[in-house]
Amino acid sequence: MSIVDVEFRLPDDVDAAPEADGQEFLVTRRGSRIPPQVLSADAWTLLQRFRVPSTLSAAIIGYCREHGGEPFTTLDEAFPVLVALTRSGLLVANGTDAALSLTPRFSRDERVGPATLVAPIRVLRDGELWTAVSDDGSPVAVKVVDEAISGPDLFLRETTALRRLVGGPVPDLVRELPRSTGGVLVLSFVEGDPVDLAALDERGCRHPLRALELVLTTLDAYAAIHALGVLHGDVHPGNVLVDEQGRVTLIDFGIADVSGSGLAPAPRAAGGEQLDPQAAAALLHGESLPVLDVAAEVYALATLAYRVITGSPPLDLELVRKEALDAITTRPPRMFVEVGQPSWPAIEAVLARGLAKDPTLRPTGAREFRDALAAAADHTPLETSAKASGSLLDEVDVDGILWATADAATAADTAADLRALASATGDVDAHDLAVLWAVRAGAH
Amino acid sequence: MATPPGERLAQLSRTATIRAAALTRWVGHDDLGTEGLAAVLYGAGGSAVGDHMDAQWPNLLLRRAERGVRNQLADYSRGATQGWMSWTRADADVTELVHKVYVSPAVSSLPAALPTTLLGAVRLGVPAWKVGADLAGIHRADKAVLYLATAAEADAAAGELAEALASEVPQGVPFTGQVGATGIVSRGLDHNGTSWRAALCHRLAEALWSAREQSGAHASAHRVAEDALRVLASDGFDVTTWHPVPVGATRR
Repeated sequence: MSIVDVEFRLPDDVDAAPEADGQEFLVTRRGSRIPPQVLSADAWTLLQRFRVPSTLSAAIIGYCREHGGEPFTTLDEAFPVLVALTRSGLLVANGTDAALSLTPRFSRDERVGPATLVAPIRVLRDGELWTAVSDDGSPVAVKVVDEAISGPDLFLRETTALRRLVGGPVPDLVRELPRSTGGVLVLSFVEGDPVDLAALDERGCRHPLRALELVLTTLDAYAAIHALGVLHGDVHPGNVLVDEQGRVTLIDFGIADVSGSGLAPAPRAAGGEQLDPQAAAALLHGESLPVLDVAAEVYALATLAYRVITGSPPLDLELVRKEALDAITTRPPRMFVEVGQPSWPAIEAVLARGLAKDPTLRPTGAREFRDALAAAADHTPLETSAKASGSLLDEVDVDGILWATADAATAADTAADLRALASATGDVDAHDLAVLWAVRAGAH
Repeated sequence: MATPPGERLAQLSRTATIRAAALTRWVGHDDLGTEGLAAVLYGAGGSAVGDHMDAQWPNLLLRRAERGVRNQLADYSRGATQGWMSWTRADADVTELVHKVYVSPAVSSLPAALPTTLLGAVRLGVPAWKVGADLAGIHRADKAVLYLATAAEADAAAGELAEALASEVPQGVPFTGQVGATGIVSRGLDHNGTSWRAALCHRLAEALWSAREQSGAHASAHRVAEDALRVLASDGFDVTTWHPVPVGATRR
C-alpha cells in the first residue's frame, strides 16, 4: 500500500486553541510529550477534514471544493505540513493504535500494590502519575511506565537507581511491579516546586542570593548521588523539587547511569538546554552520542544553576536545530545583564567554568562546582540603578491642568512616565491613566 | 479626581467612564472609533506587569493553588488556552454556564487568594472556571472567572467567596456588580456567547461619542459621562450597581 492509499485521521483527543490574532492555532494532543504545534488557520481547517478518516488526496479535494483553490497546488503547499503532522502524532494512520484516544489505564479507588489511587496528576501516552494512599494511610505517588520499546529499560534503570540511593535525596521506593511494557512504581509522595520557580519570592521576583542558596542545596544533592555511583542524566528544573522547608528531592531516574549495576550505558537525551557541547558536536556530525559521564552532568548542572539564578538559559537556543547545536559547541554563555539580571561577575566566572566547551576545564564534579560557587557567593551582585518613582497621579488625571493643556509630545511623555510608574508599583490607576494618555498621544 | 460616592466597583466604573469621556475631547471618533473607546473601558482596572516579575510566576501560583485541592479535582478536566487555564467538571454543559462570578485580587494577594478561590470553587461545586495563566492574565482585572448555570447559584457562590476573601487586597472588575464589602468578588453574565461586560462597554462607548457630539468639544468630561450614563440607564442597564440585568430587560 502506498501513501496515497492510506487513510489518515485526526484523533479525537487533538485540541486546538486560536492564538491572540486568530491567524494561527496552537494544536496539541492530550497526553502527548510532543510540544504544541502552531498551524495557520488554513492548515488547521484542512487538518479538521481528517476528523473523518480520509486519504490525503480526498481531503485536499474536499477542502478545495469547500474553500476554493486548485487541488494540485494546494497539495504541493500542504504536503510538507501534513508529513510533519504525521511525525508529531497529530495525523495518524486510521485503525492503528496511535489513532486511539488516550484513556487512563487506572481509575480512582483502584488498588495498585499497597496503594489505593486517589487522583491522576498526569496521563500520558507512555505513562501515568497518580496520587494515592498507602495501606498505612501515608500519601504515595504511583508512577506507571508503559511503553513497549523503551519502557522496560526505563523501569529497570529507575528502580536500580532508587534502590542504590535509599535514604538519599530521592523518593523512597515503596513497591515495584514490573510489566512487559515497563511497570508500576509506588513511591513516597514528594510535594514541591521546580527549583527554578522555588527561587521566586512572594511577588514573583527572582532574588539572586536566595536562588544561589537553592543551587548550592541542589548541588549537595547531586554530589550525594554521584558519590553513590549514580549519574542522573535528566537534569532539568522539573526534576529537582523543593519543598516548603527548602529540602531538595531529585526525581525521574529512567535514563540514569548506575555504575557497577550491569546495566548498559544510559540512553542520552538528544536535545534541550542541558545538552553538553560534546553531545551537540556528535549530533552535528551524525555520530552516535557519547556515553554520559561526570563532565556532561556537570555541564547540565551549570545550565540548571544559570537558569535558577537568572530565570533564563545560558544560551539563546530559540534557533533551528543545526544553529542551536552550533551555538552549544561554540558560543559563550550570556552575561547576566544580557538576560536582564544584575551583573554578578564572581558567580558568572564559576558558571562559565561549568559551561566550558572543553570538558577538562570544567569542575571535576558536583562537589567542586558547589564549593566554587559557595566561595564566589561572598561577592554580592552589583546593584542596578534605582527606578524612577514618585507620584504623578494627582497631576495627570483628567481633571488636572496638564490634561487640559498638553500637546501630543507632552501626552506621549506623560504616557511613558506613567507606564514606568505602573510597572514599578503595580498601581491600577497608573495603568489606566497610562493607557488614556497613550491613546490621547495616538500611540495606543 | 474626587472619588464619587458608592461602592468600590461602582466608583471604579464611574471613574473609567469619566476618563473615557475626557478622551473623546482629544481624540477623534475617526481615529479611535467605538471599538477603540470600548476597549479602553473594557481594559480599565488592569495593572502593569512589574519589571522583574518572572514569566513563570503565574504558572507557579496555579500549581500551588491546585495542590491544595488536587484530589478533589479528579472530576474536572483541565484545559489551557491562550493566556488562560480552565477547569471544567466532566458532567458540565458549558453552554448552560452563563452566570459569572469574577474574583479579582490584587496581584500581591494572589498567593493567598488563589488557593482560597480554588478551594471555594471545589467546595461549592462550581462546574467550571478559568484563571489568567500568564503575566498579562494575572494583571487584568477579570483574572479569574467562575461559571455557573443559574443566577441563584452564582449569587450564592459569589457571597461565600466574598466572605472567604474579605481579608485579601482587591483589584476589582469595573462594570460588574460588586458582591461583598471589598469589591474582590463581583457578578457578570454571558449572553449569546458574548460577555455582558463587553456588550455594556460597547454600548457605553457609543453613548459617550454621541454625548460628546451633542455637548460639544468644551463640555466637561463629567457632563459627557453623565449624559452617556443616562442613556444607558434609559436602555435598561443598571448604572448604579452595574449588576447584570436579566436578558431581554435592556433595549439594546
